[in-house]
Amino acid sequence: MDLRRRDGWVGGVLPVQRNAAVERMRRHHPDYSGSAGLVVEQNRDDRSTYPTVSRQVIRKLVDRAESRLIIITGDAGHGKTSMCLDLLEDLGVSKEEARYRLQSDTRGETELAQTSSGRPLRIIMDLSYFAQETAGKLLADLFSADDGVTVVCANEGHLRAALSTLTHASTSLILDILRNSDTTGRISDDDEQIVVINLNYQSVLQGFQPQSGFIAWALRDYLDDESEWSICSQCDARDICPILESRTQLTEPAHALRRRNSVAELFRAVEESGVVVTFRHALMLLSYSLCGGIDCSTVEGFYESGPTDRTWQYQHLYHQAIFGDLLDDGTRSSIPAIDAARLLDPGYTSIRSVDDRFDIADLPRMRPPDPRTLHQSMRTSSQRRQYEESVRAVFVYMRRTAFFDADRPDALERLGLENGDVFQDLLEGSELTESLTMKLIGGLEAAQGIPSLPGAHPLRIVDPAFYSAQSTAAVLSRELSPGNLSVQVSPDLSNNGESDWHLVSTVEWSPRQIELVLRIPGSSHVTIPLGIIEFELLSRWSEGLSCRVQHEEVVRNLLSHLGKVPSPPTLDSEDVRVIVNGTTLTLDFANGRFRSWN
Amino acid sequence: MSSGDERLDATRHNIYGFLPQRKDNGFYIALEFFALVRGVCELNPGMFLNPNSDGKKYRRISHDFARRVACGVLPLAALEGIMDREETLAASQALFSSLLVVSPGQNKLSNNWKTRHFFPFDGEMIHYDALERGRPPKREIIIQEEVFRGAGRWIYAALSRDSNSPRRQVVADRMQSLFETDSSALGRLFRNAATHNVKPVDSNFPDLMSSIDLHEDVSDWPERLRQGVQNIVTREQLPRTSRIRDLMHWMPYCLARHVLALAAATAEIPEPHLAVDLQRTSNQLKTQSQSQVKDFRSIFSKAHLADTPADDAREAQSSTSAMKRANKESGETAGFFTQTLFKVGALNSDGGTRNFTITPPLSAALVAAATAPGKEMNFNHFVDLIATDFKAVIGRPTLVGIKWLDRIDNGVFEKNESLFASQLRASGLLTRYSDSTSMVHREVLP
Repeated sequence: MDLRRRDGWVGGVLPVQRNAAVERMRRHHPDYSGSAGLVVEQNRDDRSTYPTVSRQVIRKLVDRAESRLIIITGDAGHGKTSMCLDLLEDLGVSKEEARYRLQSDTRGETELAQTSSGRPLRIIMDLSYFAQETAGKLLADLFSADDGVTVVCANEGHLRAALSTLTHASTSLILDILRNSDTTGRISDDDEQIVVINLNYQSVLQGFQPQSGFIAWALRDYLDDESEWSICSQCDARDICPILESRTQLTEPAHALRRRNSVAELFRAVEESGVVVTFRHALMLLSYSLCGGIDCSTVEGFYESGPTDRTWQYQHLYHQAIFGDLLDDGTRSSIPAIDAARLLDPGYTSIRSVDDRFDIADLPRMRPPDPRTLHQSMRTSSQRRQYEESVRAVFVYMRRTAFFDADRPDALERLGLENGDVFQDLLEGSELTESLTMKLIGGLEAAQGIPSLPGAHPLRIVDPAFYSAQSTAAVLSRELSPGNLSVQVSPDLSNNGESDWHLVSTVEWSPRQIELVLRIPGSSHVTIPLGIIEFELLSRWSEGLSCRVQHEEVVRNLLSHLGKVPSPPTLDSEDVRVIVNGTTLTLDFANGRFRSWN
Repeated sequence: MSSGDERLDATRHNIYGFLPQRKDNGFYIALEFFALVRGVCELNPGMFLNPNSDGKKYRRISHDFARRVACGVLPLAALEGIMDREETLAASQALFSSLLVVSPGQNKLSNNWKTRHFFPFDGEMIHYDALERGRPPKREIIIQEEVFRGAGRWIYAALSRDSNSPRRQVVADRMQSLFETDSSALGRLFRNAATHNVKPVDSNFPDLMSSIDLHEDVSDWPERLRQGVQNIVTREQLPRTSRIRDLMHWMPYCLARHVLALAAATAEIPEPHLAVDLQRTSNQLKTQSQSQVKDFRSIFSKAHLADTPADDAREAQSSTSAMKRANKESGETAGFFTQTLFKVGALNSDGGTRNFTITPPLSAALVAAATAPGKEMNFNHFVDLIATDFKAVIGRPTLVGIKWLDRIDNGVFEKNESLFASQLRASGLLTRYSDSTSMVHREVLP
């Protein structure tokens, strides 16, 4: 007689346990209804939050006598509301009371607390409550208010839309700060009355240390509480559970640190590719990958249908799930970090020295189906296709696994970024070497459609008139010697001492892009911002790889910067340097005669 | 010219204020205007955009030499004393041909140099029409209208008759600086090539006051043109080439829409809103757009019919035959309208079943014309503005009065809007933020 009840209880013991940590992570999944566990207003979880740099910064800012308007902006999910709650808590308001006060006064009309200097503090929790015009007027009124300090939280898009409806003086001040902060690092106006903290510059990593940023903290928070995970040892499904397997792989002393660092490295590459990763998206992606998109009840279902079946788990292991294969297109596109991670997916990067070490016969216990067991003889094309798909799936699985298990040196190469290490060295302050300069020159010339020359040569910049794809020849507008090329990390940190409030010191900062500086003799300079993808493309193009159609957006962006390089001043000579079919010629028009020579 | 032709021209002039011609379409409109800008500024810079043309002269420069080299119609033998060797000719041909304007549907390999014009990257490159007259060996090149048939003069007239004097002055100043010749290699190249052109001709500036009627009481497009041109030419942050490219799309687009507005007014129907479809597959909006392209043909015919003086002979004819005749007689105008929209990227094809669309260069021009320099605009607001001001429907607008809107499902509009947003984003004209707010801007903003 089957004693099993509908809820799975057999009598005496529950065969499959429910882990509270897994349930908590499940509420953070991107496909979980509303992802309510990650929205402060809907979350009643009192677990400790990640102590951000901005929390201390905003506490100091509200205490300053000059401060009148502090705008916390950035994409949804960076933690703006959470920061306001923390601020009120720091000023002596209880957590429950802080929640109540914030939600009951959306217009910032009442005093929510007093700063340590006794000034009234008002907070607008979310500018998105108001239509653009109303929000714009509200900002202008706040700036004109006589006393007190007001903190305004605004998603960057809505803030810009609201500001675009106004012509008030403060409007242009705020827009200027937003536009210039990434180059100058300044986050306040000259009088330091308006401060804009743009959390889109907040990194999920702290500096270059994978062990110290938000990702490392979140992994610890999800995985390291033994009291939460001990229940799994009593679960009957523990031997077939991919969630427990992922947790084991990320906590076993011998390999855990390396694997966690690899997770952080992946996030670092995603950020360096120019994608803003909010804390909410980072938590969504991490929780989803650690659980493989499932929870204890799903595991229970599988256990009931096959207690020893180990063929389904491999897709749910953290090193596979982090690339979002099982998510639908809509969910994936709503989280830019997933799209960016998929672009860097090591499963699709073929490196001979890596692939040669794989052995299909030596797959771990939770593995994809062995292609050799599919068909005894492949008679039809459909069977052959099935076999090829199966081999591909195995290789994708093994490459991804190997990426997280690999040592640091070739991690970026496995992400398809052959020149990623060089880029990160530049981010960390290295200077351009001669060979690297030539590589960048080759890449920039290729972007303009000029075949590169062997050996050291100046950067040839063609007249913007010849950027179109129909050009078979081009006029050279300028040549810059390699010594005029240098790199710098943005924002410029040289004026860090001028103001107490600098972008780098107000958020969790990690540099993400470099600026290639072209010094123009007799003139100023032109800077070209480069993320890790643009840098990789430039390096590859210099080696001959080119696909202008696929990377049209990148090419257009590079050309828009190169087009700013001015032509040299008037020359006495009437010579014009031209490139025709890769050959450089000099055209001369003396006395109405067209002459040319190589 | 026969009396029938004269009567026909008088009717068309009466309706449109100038003579729209099929041949004079697309980028030629802007290029003719630029040729006037250069021509006036060479001789009388102070008179540029001055509505009074009394005693004003302008210079017409042909650049026929460079155009003939670009199209490969000059063999080395004909260039003795000008080109020293075959490689020089090949290099010059490659250079010049890379600088020609390429219109959609144009045969890039055509050696008809008279219809090929240079893109004005530098003021030195601007030129007027030229054509060949006579038979060899007495064939000669003369500076005369080939494809420039007066539409560029309409643009000049619209800008010079701006009642907002400060705006007219700003446009005049910025337009002149836009086409200043500098010391660039390109300028030197064309300056030297110009020594082999036929001699420039200094002519009296046409009397635009009497020859062109803007019909501003009926159409808002002259005013839209002026505002858009001001927004484009004052956009100092944008590279010069981009500003010129925006003008080359914006000015013909306005004129084509002006012609449609006048035809509709003459036929006593409201100015139609264009159904703009960006989707590949068949849908309700595309069907609406396709039927509009056909219907507009009849608007031009009706306008023609409405403006033709009724006489006994005409009344005796059946209405069907009168309509057939009007169709035939309004062919030039309809051709001007469809060809211009096709060339600037507002119509998907120059033949067959066509629909209105919007290509990336045109959308860049619309953004530049609609937003003030350095400013950004909410995407939804921009789509609404295109519908209300430019009378082109991409998404479901928040306005009433368009009958066909109810026939189209919301899902079709949503998809269309999303495709438009993706197109703008790929061109660097739109920034999408995480809170579903998208901002449109012409400059690449940080």
